[in-house]
Amino acid sequence: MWTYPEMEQTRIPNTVMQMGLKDGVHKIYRITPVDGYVLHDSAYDVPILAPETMEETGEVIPGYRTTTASCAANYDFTANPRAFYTVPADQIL
Amino acid sequence: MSIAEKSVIIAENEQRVYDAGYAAGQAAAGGGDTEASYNEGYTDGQQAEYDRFWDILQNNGMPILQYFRLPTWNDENFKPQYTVYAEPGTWSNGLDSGTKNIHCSITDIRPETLGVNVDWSLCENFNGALIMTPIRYVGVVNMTNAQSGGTLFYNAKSLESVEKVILPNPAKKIAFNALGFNTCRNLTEIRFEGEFYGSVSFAGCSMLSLESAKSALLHLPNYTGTENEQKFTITFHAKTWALLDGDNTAPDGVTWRTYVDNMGWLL
Repeated sequence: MWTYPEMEQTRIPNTVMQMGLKDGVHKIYRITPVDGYVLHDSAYDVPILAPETMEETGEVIPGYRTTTASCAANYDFTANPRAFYTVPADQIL
Repeated sequence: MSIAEKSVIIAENEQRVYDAGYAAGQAAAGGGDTEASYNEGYTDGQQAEYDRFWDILQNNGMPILQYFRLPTWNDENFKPQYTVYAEPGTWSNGLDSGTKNIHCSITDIRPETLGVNVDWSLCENFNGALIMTPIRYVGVVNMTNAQSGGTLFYNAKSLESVEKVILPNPAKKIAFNALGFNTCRNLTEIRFEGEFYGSVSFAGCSMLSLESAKSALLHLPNYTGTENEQKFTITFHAKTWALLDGDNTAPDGVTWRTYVDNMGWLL
């Protein structure tokens, strides 16, 4: 049985964060951008490939989401490997 | 027979049709030369040449890669006579020639349209196979023997439907990650068989149907209690999540988001 209590303090500005508890055990965080913002998430990035070789160039087109993301309970918010951060939605074409 | 040699035969085809038709027409007329008998013979001759053409082109199972790189192919003239096989070995960028701006105009490679099966089961490397092609409709893609191929659908901008993808053996660790369905913005219908491995992204698929999204979700392996728990992410376009959030058919009566949590995956 999952429960998703809302956290009083978010770790990503302009988002609402919830803890995901499975049978009372903390398993995940859920992160939802507040209205007017989108959430950058590297899972939505689009890697750019070299046309001839189709190998990744290391460059990406940043991807943003308006929906909820989730990450593991031990996610390192300092290193932030999925590069969670918010951007005003009107700045994204 | 080399491709160049086959190309010569293809170029000769028109004259061969005429010659065969003329000969057949004369034979049908008992040596005469009437217009009616010629027309009848011409039709027979065309069929004979069609058969001969495809016999030559598909002898010993010419790999599919070569078919689709021929820029003159379109839905009208691409009528293979026998099962079309994917190349057993490497097929990286197999259907693509986008970098050279030459690619076929074939839009539909479903067996019911072609009249023959397209057999992908021997292919081992599917990477970039559909990139930049105008193909819109695909039948069953059997990735059973895939050694790589997470970018099979990468940049398949015209793709609208895939009857079914038989997913690779999870032990091969082939993931349809950020590149997997990237820019498949017209993809609407797709179904899956087997289990995904690793992160899978439909983030760019804004047209994806509810049933397609559900098919993907229902073929996530259950990572709960494994080393992969909360390690991989499944991503959908916001429009797809809107469909999923309005659906109440997830197993065990939970929401689809909680279903993903239950399976040990991340959103």
